[in-house]
Amino acid sequence: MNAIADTWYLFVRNLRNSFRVPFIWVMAVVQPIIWLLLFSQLFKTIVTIPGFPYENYLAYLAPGIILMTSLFGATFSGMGTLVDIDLSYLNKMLVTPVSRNAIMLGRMGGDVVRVVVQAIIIVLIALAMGVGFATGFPGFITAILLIALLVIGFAGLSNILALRIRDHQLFIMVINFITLPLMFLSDAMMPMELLPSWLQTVAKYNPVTYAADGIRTLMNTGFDGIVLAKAFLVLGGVALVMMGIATILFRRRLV
Amino acid sequence: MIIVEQLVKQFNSLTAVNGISFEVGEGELFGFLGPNGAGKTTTIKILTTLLKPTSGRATVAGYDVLKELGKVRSVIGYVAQDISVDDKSTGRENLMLQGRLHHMEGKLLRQRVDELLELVDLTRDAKRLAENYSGGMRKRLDLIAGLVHRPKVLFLDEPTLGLDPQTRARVWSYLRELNQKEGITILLTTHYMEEADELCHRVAIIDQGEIKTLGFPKVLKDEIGGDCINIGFSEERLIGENALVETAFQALQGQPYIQRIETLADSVAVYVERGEEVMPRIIELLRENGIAVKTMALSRPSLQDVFLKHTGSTIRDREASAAEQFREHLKKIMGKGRR
Repeated sequence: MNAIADTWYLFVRNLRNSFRVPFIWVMAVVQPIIWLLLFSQLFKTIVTIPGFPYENYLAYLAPGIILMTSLFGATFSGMGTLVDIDLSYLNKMLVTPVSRNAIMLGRMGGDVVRVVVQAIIIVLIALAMGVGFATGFPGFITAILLIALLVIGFAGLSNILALRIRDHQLFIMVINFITLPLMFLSDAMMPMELLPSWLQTVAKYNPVTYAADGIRTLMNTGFDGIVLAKAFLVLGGVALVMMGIATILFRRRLV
Repeated sequence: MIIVEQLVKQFNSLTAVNGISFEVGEGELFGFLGPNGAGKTTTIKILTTLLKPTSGRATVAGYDVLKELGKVRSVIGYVAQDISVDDKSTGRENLMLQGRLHHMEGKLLRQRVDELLELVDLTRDAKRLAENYSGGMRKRLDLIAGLVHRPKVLFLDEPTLGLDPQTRARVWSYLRELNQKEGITILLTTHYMEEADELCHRVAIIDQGEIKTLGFPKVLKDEIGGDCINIGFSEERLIGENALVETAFQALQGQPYIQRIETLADSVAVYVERGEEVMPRIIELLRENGIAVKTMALSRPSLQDVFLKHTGSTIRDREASAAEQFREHLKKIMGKGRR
């Protein structure tokens, strides 16, 4: 019971602190809007490529941008852990009887909720920009669940990297090194059929692809059982593994 | 309350703590005095379960720091050397979270938090974010955060490092109050002589990972040999056939109340018991011998002298050489990195 209570208090601290820096929220919402506008203009002519399955690139792109924002938000979760380590605030928690798992889960929990809320805002903005949601409200909820799983997985990965790297600058470099390729080595920006074959192979092993496929069908075509099952399995698996490793690693690194 | 036996901590080739043993009694205010890098922080980290020792054992409030981590954590408070408060939380939120992490219940916790805020004069600022606090306020907040759950043992790592004299005096009085009113056993580390001397009941002098000596400051100082009377002479009378330093030495030598005499360049240091009683007799003796005295000062041995006696160096020298080593070390790794 204590572990659950511990997680709750640390979760609240993390989330509450993020509201104390309103600029985080402003940036997190403004940036994807700019991307939506910029990319949809920049790659406007893509729809004329033979074989492109959509008439409107924005309809194709919106899920990608939502995922990109979520991915960037999620992969910065480890930064909070690094800050707590550096300011020896972590030690302050560690000398209390608080559950060790709760420290990691509270950290990730707060970040996940924050990023998912941001994703919801962006979906709403995309809707306002004219993107439709074919599956209506149930589809919207399903999409948010998929995003949440993706965010849990990558928040986990981020914390694993933070615990291994332990250096702010290097951490940021590694995160940047990982996130952009993750986006472009998937079909989030360009349909699978139009990717070179080696990239198609890589994209098949990239969890972002499954999230993008899932959300895109929900937004544009309808409930597709197979696509959604794959997406939930892959993203759920990644989330579970990453969260598990992050928590175990966190315990191991400490007494 | 704290029992440490043959504690050793090695970091690769570096031995930070080299087989130290000591005990701290209940209600005691115990000081660890030593230069930076002596092994003080490492010892505290082991006792607060933040580090595992290489060998040896230790118990805190009867609980083994290696086997009963949860129990140790529930009875200790720890205030690190660097101020570690959550800047994006208010003073009150910082304290509430600490209490929650110690699994304290709502009403009791709120009462305790109010009480502590009052103790260190932060009640009015309790609702402000810690990032807007001054350095002294942050230190006070950090200090009471370690006290929310009424620990039996409080570990303080350099509690007054970098504080202005006024704030330091206040921290001292809080610590005395906590120690006396709440009966908290306190183990603190410091490299300030006067802090160890004035605040602590007993002091362990630690250097290069070993406890060099341990005891009540007064006893440690008395071991050095009572008081020191320093007799200074005018410069023009320091050389020549009747150099006063030498004449004075001759005159004072053999007096039963003098334990030891050391001649220095322009003065004579006389070590005696009960200096205030002996001083008039020395003045008389010197006058009888026609020796003109320019200055005379009575001083009690300080912990500085104790440190000097047991380590053969002063704390300042030790720290200077440690800093030197650190710079050398940095040069080496930086050099490697560039090449």
